[in-house]
Amino acid sequence: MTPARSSQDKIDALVAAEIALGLVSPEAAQDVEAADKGDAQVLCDIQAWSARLMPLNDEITAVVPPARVWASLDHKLQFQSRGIERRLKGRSRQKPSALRWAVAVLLSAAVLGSALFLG
Amino acid sequence: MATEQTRMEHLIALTAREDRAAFEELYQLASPLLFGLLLERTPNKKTAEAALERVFMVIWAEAKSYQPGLFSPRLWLIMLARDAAHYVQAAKGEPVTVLAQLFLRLRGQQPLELRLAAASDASHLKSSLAQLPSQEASAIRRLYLQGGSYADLAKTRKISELDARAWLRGALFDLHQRMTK
Repeated sequence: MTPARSSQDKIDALVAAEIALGLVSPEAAQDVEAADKGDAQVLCDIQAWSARLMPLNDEITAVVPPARVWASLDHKLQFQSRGIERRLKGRSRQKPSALRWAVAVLLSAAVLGSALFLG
Repeated sequence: MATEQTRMEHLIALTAREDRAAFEELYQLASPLLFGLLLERTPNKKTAEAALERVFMVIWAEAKSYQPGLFSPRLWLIMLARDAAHYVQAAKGEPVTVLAQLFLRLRGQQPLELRLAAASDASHLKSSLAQLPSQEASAIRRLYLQGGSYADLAKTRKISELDARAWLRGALFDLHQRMTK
């Protein structure tokens, strides 16, 4: 059997309702901190209120956004990934890896050793 | 046939692996709802478009943090959209919605009673709201769908912010009682 919740618990549940509504209050901020530290009851209350209010979203009228929004988003993501590629290429050009240095040293030693041996 | 929820979860999981085609499909599927919401919560179409773009930039970056079971994909996307609406208007460089911040910070939490709560409460919300005094019901509806603060509520009701808060809490308590009856 679930124990009855105290009046403080009830207040916490109302703060969770405020959070789910999107209202920020000092108590709400503290509750978020508590949930972040693993306070399961607070998290549960926030989840429950979020789920409770969810049907209100049925009242939203869906509107297809103009094509330019996707075009701009797509452009930004392409630009972002090209930037990452450029940075990665630049890094590999600027800083040869330890493995490459090791191979180069070994090859040089082998060439020098062969030259000395043959000479 | 996959439900919209399973499809969205799958697309978010693929987006987390930087699958551009899945991301585009997710955009096609979810953007009309989110754009509709943003048009309600922002002052004009241009701001709503900027917010929508921001929502999807956040989805692209944060898809890996989405945990099925913690919040439904629809709720997660709506929370991000509500957050983006605040962000583009506040223009402070940081998201301000506490719930969205909480979601983005949570990692590895186990699903608790979400599914149970959703199943038992969802069907009661509209009838319970209808039983509340009309001013209380419309305030809850307006705050959820269009956003706002205690300052806005106080101004509308011509009372202090403290009183506005007590009044809204009373309404939420009343709603909770009716929904859990």
